[in-house]
Amino acid sequence: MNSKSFSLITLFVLFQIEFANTTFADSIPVSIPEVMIQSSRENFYSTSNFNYKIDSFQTHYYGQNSIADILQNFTPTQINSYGFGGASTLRLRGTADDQTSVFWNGLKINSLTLGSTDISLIPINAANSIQIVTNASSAVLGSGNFGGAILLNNNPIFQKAIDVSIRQDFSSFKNFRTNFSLKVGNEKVQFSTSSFYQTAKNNFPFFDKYKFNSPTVLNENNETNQWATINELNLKLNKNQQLDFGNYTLQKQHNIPANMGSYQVSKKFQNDFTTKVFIKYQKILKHSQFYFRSGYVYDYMLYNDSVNKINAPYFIHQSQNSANYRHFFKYQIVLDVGIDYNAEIAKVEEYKSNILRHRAAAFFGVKYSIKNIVLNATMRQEILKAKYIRPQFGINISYTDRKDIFSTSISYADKFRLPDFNDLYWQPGGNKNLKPESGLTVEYNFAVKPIKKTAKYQFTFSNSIYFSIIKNNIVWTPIVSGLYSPQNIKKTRHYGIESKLENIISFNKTNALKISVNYNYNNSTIINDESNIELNGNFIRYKPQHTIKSYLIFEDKYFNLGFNYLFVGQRFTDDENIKVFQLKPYSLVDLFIAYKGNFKNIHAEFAFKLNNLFNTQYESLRSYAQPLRNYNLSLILNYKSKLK
Amino acid sequence: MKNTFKKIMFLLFVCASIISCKKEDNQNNTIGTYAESGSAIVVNEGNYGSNNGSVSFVDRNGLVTNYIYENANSGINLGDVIQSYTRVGNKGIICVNNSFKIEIVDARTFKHLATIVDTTATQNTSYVRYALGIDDNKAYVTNGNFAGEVEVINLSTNTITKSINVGKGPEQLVMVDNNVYVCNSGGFDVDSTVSIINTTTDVVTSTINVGDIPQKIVRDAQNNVWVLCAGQSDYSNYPIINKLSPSKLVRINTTTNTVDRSFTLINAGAPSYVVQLAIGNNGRTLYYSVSDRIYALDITSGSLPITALISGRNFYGLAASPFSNQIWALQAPNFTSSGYVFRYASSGSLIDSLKVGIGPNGAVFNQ
Repeated sequence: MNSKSFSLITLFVLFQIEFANTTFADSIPVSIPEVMIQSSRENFYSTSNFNYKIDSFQTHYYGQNSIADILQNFTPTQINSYGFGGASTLRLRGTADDQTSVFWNGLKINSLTLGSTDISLIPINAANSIQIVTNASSAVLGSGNFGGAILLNNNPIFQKAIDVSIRQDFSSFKNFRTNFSLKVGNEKVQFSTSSFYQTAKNNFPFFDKYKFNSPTVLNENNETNQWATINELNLKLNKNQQLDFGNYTLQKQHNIPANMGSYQVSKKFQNDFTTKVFIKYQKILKHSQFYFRSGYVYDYMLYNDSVNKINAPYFIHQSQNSANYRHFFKYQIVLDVGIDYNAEIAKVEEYKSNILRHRAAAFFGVKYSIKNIVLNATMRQEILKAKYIRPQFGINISYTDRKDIFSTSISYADKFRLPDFNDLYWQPGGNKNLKPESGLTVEYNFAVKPIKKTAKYQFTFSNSIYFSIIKNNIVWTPIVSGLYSPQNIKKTRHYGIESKLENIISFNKTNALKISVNYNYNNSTIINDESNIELNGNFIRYKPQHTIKSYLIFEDKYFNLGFNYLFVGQRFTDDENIKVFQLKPYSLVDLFIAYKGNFKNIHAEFAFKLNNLFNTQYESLRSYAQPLRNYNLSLILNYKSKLK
Repeated sequence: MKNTFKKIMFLLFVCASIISCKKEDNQNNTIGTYAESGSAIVVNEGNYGSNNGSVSFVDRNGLVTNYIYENANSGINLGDVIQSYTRVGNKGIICVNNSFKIEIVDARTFKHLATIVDTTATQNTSYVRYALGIDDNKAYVTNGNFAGEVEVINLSTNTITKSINVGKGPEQLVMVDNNVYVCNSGGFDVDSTVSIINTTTDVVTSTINVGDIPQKIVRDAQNNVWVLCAGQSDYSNYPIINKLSPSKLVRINTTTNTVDRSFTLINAGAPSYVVQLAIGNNGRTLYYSVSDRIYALDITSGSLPITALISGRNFYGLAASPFSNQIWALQAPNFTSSGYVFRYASSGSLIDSLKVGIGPNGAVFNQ
């Protein structure tokens, strides 16, 4: 971290402390009220006092492109961008792309072929609740989750109302996006639909530092066209039963630009089509609850490189099913029993034949509350043909004092990750004898909310300290024939601290200020690399030790103002930790201002956002160009009315 | 006072001159370093798509200096997939494959002189592989992953003056008298020929069939040319990979331009391995590798050796020093960490190993 960045951070923290010493009355949170939390197994057992929840205000101003911007700015998530407008994957706590799970309404949406999740393919309206579960355990969430899990959910609010929105975004580099959404319903039925269409040239200029004298180069062949539709129907069948249907479909055509330093314009492109569908049924009985969910995931991808005569399509079909019975006993004891069944089909030319895999799992969970202490213990047994995976356990103990001023928790979680389909079946190279990656995480959290007397001022300081070991990491490595093949050759260690300081100051009914600083320290190293023991002790590539994410939002009756600061520390780009190839630290500052007005039931808003205010040249991944200063203009019209 | 002032000025002038002379001396030392006789340049490909290819310098005593291009050019990285380095007089030609450029450097300092880009090339022919100096002002560069070309480079103007069509995927090339022999490996396809170019007219005069996928080529002490043909591999029964066509070592008689000797290294149907080729002992001994074994073959021998000279390691590149008779075997454990040069005596005994950049694929010795 350079001295300039450090000074900026120090100033910002001091600024926060200064505000912390001031008192206000009558709180009006900046965010909209939180929606109902569903009682699915993932949510019920993934509670922690250090989970991140994204509010709608953040999605409103930072989600014009994809969910990636929101996660990047407001959570400890590390986003790896394969170029502006291109694919983006995410990582948590120094783990790999395929070691963080993403769930949409309970369906796991990580790629079956690669294991990672391209979050550029998740429409921003696909979920009204985004939650980062840092202490995600394999006992609850199954394969993956070494870094944590991201839960995207739709939590309907049953009300007799109509809500229609039209939004038009105009952004730099001929990026246009039109969004329409409708919500209508009553106390028994809710229907929502949302669609968008986006077209973007994305031909931004950048300084090509890999060319002599760093000439300004235009990022050519980077066009994107995409559309998506998101629909949901929620039915309250009666007082105790609810049925939910939902789906989203997205199609994206994206040209892939050449890497920095290249003297040839790329002709590559990638087409993606994905559709996800779920049905959920919940029934509440006198002392129990039944929950059933079934989902279908379809992913199609075509990668084309006409120069090298590559045309590689793949088709993935998944059926994911889960049933859970929960019983509420006396003395605050809750017991869960559940089963999961997944069928996974892959049609990929390089696999030589179609792959069909069946997976099942049994789940047991118990939650016990005594006074201010909550204890939950979970166990899962994965059932997979010809592959034994030992039972996975998770335990979490949390304490919250009666005044909710101090809370603390400690958790232990077993973790495992099944090899990706490419690891197993890609020819040449795939290795069917791979073991699952395995490991554990221990996490300690505490949160302090020292000022509770007045709702005008809310202050939260929370900390999470974690330690993880991952064994049998899968790495593609050269074998005797000279080809690459995945092998279980690495053991890694990850530990760190995530600190979050959050203030909400409400001046009056319409004015509020929200300030947040999030500092993350991560130390991820190779403990043992069987292919090269000289790498032992080195940092894992692309894992910054220090990141800071901070924002300040001021809300007024007529306008909103926002300021965002992101600092990403230096990153090594290879396992050798070679200094000449490391990526420098960078800081990004974004600003937005929104003017808003109401006319009867119509809410109109005009927002202007300036990204990368100081024209910082940076790389998220080595050789992938990122834009300099750029802007976004949004026009929003919203009609809301209660229905008679 | 005036005299004192003059004396001081004189003393200052002398001091300044000494300092500047010293600087000059230091610069001269530096200038000569990377081209000194008996030293070597190791080419490190780097990881595809990561712009972390590099070159390493190994001096006469075996001391390694890595990232010499970055050090000489204010930290600018050389590029993406460094395929080869060739010295032509005081210039160095670096073929940077996935950056689609030919980098020209001062061979003594590795300071950047020019970047040559084939602006007229079609998509399939912008894929530079190897260079060969024809004279101090002219060089050939092989180019193309499907349709192949040899680019004629004017090293005075650092421009491409002509493109000569050859077979698919041209790779290594050598010169014997006025003829240049170019391996047409097929690139992403299949080829089995060697093109012969007349260096006076820059025209292909003949094409010879040698065997599938000719990749490596060396000239021996008798001015004949040896070509290593990798042969095609069958991946359909993976993890079993067998040869569809044999790996061969063939000799082209440069007087008749015909194949007059052929050795099969791996038979068709047998397991497939990587093969490498180098020549040492003043052009009298061929070194070739099959899988994790390196063999020595006298150029006059009528049969292949049975016993390997070196075994137990898989190598990504092979070279032989014309000065020390050492065999340099280059190992790339993966493409996310440093590679190694294992130096062996001509007897096959290991001398030492040197840590170089990521993915070393070859070494070039300064004459």
